[in-house]
Amino acid sequence: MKIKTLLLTFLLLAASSVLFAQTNKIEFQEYDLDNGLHVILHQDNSFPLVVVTITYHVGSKNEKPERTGFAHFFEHLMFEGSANIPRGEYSKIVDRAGGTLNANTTWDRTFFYEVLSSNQLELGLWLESERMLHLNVDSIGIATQKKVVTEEIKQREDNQPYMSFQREVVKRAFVEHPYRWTVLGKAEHILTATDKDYKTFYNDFYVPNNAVITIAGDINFDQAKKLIAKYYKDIPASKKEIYRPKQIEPIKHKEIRDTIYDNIQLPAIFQAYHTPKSGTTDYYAVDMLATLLSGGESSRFYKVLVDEKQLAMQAMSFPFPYEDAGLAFAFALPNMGVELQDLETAMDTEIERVQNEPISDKELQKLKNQYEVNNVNSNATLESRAINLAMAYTFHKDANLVNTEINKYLAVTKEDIMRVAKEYFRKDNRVVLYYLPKSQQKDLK
Amino acid sequence: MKNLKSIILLVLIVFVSTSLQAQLDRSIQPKPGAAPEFKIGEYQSFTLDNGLKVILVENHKVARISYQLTVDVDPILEKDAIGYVSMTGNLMRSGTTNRTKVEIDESVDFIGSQLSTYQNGIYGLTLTKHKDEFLQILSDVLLNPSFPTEEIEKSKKQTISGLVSSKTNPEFIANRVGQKLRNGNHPYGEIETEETINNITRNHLVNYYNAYYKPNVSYLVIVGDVKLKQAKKDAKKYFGSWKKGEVAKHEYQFPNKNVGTRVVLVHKEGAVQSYIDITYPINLKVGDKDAIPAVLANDVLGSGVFSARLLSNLREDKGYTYGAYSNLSRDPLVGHFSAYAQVATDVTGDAVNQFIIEMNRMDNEPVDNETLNLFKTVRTGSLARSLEKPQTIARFAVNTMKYSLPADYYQKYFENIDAVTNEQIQAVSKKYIDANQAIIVVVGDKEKVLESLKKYSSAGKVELYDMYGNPVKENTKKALPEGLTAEKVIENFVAAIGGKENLEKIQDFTMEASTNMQGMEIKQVIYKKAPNKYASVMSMNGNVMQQQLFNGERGIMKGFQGEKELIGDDLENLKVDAALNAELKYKELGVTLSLEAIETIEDKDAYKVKVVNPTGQTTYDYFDVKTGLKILSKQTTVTPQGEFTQMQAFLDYKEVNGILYPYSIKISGAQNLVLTVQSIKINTDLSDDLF
Repeated sequence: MKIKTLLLTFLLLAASSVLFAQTNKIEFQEYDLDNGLHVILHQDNSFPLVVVTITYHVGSKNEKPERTGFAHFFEHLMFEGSANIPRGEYSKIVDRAGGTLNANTTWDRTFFYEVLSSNQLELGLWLESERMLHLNVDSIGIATQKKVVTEEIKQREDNQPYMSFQREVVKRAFVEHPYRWTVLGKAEHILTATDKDYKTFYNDFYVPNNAVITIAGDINFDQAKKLIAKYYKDIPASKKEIYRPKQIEPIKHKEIRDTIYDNIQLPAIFQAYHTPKSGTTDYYAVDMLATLLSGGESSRFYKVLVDEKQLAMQAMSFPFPYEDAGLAFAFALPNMGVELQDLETAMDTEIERVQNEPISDKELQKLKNQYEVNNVNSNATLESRAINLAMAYTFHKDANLVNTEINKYLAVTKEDIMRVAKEYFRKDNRVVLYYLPKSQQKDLK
Repeated sequence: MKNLKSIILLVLIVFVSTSLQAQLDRSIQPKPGAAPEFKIGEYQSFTLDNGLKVILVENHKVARISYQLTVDVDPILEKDAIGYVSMTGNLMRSGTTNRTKVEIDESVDFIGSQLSTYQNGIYGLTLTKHKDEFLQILSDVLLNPSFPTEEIEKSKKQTISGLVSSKTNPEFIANRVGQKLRNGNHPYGEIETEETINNITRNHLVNYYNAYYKPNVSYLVIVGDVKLKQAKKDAKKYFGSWKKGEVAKHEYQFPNKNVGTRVVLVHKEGAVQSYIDITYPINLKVGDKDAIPAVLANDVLGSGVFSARLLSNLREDKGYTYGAYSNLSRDPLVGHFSAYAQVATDVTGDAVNQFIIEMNRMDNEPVDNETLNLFKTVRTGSLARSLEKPQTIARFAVNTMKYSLPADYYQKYFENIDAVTNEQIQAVSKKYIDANQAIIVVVGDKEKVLESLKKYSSAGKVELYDMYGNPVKENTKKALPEGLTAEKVIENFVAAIGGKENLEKIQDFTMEASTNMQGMEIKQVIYKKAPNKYASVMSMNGNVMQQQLFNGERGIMKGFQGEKELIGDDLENLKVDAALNAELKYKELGVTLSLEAIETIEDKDAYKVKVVNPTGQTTYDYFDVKTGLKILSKQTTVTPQGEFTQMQAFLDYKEVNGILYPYSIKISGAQNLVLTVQSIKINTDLSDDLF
């Protein structure tokens, strides 16, 4: 019997490795339960681990303007226990099983996962079903997490150098869309919310018809499907329509500028341009433009601003891939004694260069090479494959995007890059913030 | 083997369990299935003619390959140029005899690869299809580094800036002082300072590279999508020409064990938290019989799991700190124990006490089974998960070679963790967790914590050290003269600079000063007018950069980023600063004074006076005992990045209209500069429009 299983494992191993080497394609099965829960299964029997993830399609954008920070609050509350799991036990159960777990929240979704040895798959499914079906949304847990979350807001946004930038940028960049507040939200909203507010939010959003479950790793399809049915098929769907904001942010025609005094040693510049939302054709060109500017030590920002002109210690560009909109950030830290205006002019010059001169064939090839590598690296671990599948389905209803998205990048042309630079990287389509040390509010005395 | 009956029974059980499914009992936590076997992947190894040992872990799941090269040599004493060994490693990729740094950057980025170099090592990651281009660069970087002078100078500057910015970081200070004190004269005890970095020359780097970067003392670990035959071919092609050579061996004495507990305090003026690090050297290597039980013992004491004793005692129970942990680092030469936390100042002594209690508890009572099992599972679980990564297999392979471990050491690792008993935990705890040989390093405010720490030292005394780990000569505390008050010190100061009468004649005041910053001249002009109008104008090359104005009621800050009204504490503090002859009006301004001590400032005895504004902003002013003049002013601000102490030293007092003013102000702390006064003018009838 032993030899047989060994042989089988060996065969499976050989089969899966051939598959990967030839195509690098990520294979998966997907289906819906009657209650609307979407299931994605990815089998990789090369190692006895299993990753269980649940993505709820709820983030800060689904909150009310006077009740911000709820989705993130629930990321915490979800560890408080359930009808069958006493308070404080949720993570201990995973510890005792030798596994690990965590969660995170964005503007658009909340993500929970457990990594366990494959014989503990059922445990992982049970744990997640407990919090989907009957989480403890009670006054003790809410009170505890109110303290923890408000401390977290202080620690992450208020007490971290530059880290208020998100809050400061988005409240200026968006006037209509709920992206105008951050994921962490306002402490006072969290503190003044009632237990009933939290219960309503839980019932509205943490339901099977608003969730995707992904299982990746050493599984047997039939067994996994049976276990999913066992724990999830009886969880009722929500009857209410799930609230998704419909506001459309008006097109901008005026630059917004401001100065923020922060607890920092060095000043900094943040720029944010409105760009198309993730998944659109132009999104891929915008993303590539950001890499052109700041991917690697030979990128344009690094080479010109940091190495050649020595204006900046650091300069980078990164797009925020929201579901309903886009913001492309550019950020630079000046060297000692460099004026922010001079640095900003140099950043603008680099952007104008992209608008006015096509990039070279070699640079385009470099970008494509870099995206190809990213594609390989971002699917290298079991965990990352589980996440990528879940996100592709949640936002684009197309899990297979994990295999095809690279083609969208490879199809971007030099003309596309020039065009998106002109169309979106306009001065009247951006927010510019100067960050200055608080000490500059005073003089030398 | 099974008879029909049992098969029927089995079928029945299956039926029962499926029909039960309809009424799933969710209160039952599912039991795990049969535990899977976590197999440690295979590795292969070979040695080139030049002695380079190569370890290959094939993994064809993803079409990429990583290369990690380690030069495995004894540490050396770097003496007065500490830092050059790590700089040699860092600068390997900053230019070769064939390629400039820019060319290296370009070609690495072009194929989307990663290449980094560091102390005695290189790491690279590439797609399989770019393997050959990548290996050409990697081998060039390894075999022909040119160490360009300008890159060395750049790196020295960056390293020094890094050191300077870390000076306010208590964790950094405690780690370095602990490292120096526990290792004594061993090379592990050498720490970089601005001075040793400045002493580094290109020769240090070139000589170190020539003497130690040899294939016969190095390992190359290849992980990923390449077969043994190809890997051998590549290794020969790209690393075969690397010349082998004799490499000097160095042996050092194991640092002396402390007899009794030492308490070492690094003073940090006004610190609101103390950083505690309890540390000492241990003799424990990977593969030692004690290693596995010792690692588990440390997990129970100080891992990041909430049930660990330090966390549950110091954080959950006492609320002294956000986190308290311990480490037991294994090393072929000198390992160390370290238990650490950042705690509120007023509980510094109590926190040290709880650390000692928990350390002793490990030695004196056996760990209960439930606890031990939990920590065994957490450790085997994370180890099992790490086996998914081929890098883990590679690390095991290197360790097996480097420490001459038995071939099945890692295969048996799980079993060995499982076999650890409570008695073993207690036995290794007695051996390696020992507060009686510890150096307790505390970085905190001497005035507030020193007394509470004395009782933890076997000798009953707290040793004072500076941030570089050098002993501080203790000032014999001078007693304050009987009856002297802060008010009197201020009166003496007023008399010393020219007297109340002369000061009261002043109606307005204009001071022009300048300083140099990065080669640019910055000018500052300060205007004051009775009773409390104030203006400061800063300009660079004739352009006004910043202005601060106070007309007696409103304070405004102007800069090129616009205008800002000062409010709250900022405004209140400005009201005090703006007052003409504030020293005569402390009472009406609501400033409180207290005389603290006599301290030695640059060889001069000085009275230390604490000056507290109505906002609570505190400044310490130092007055020369002999001359009565103010020689230093210190202010500490707490920010999320740490605490910053800004100091102003007043030098070169000169007389203007019967009053002495300092003509040179040395500012140090977050910024270091000298403000030189060009002129001071009194009663020039300043217009109110200035303010």
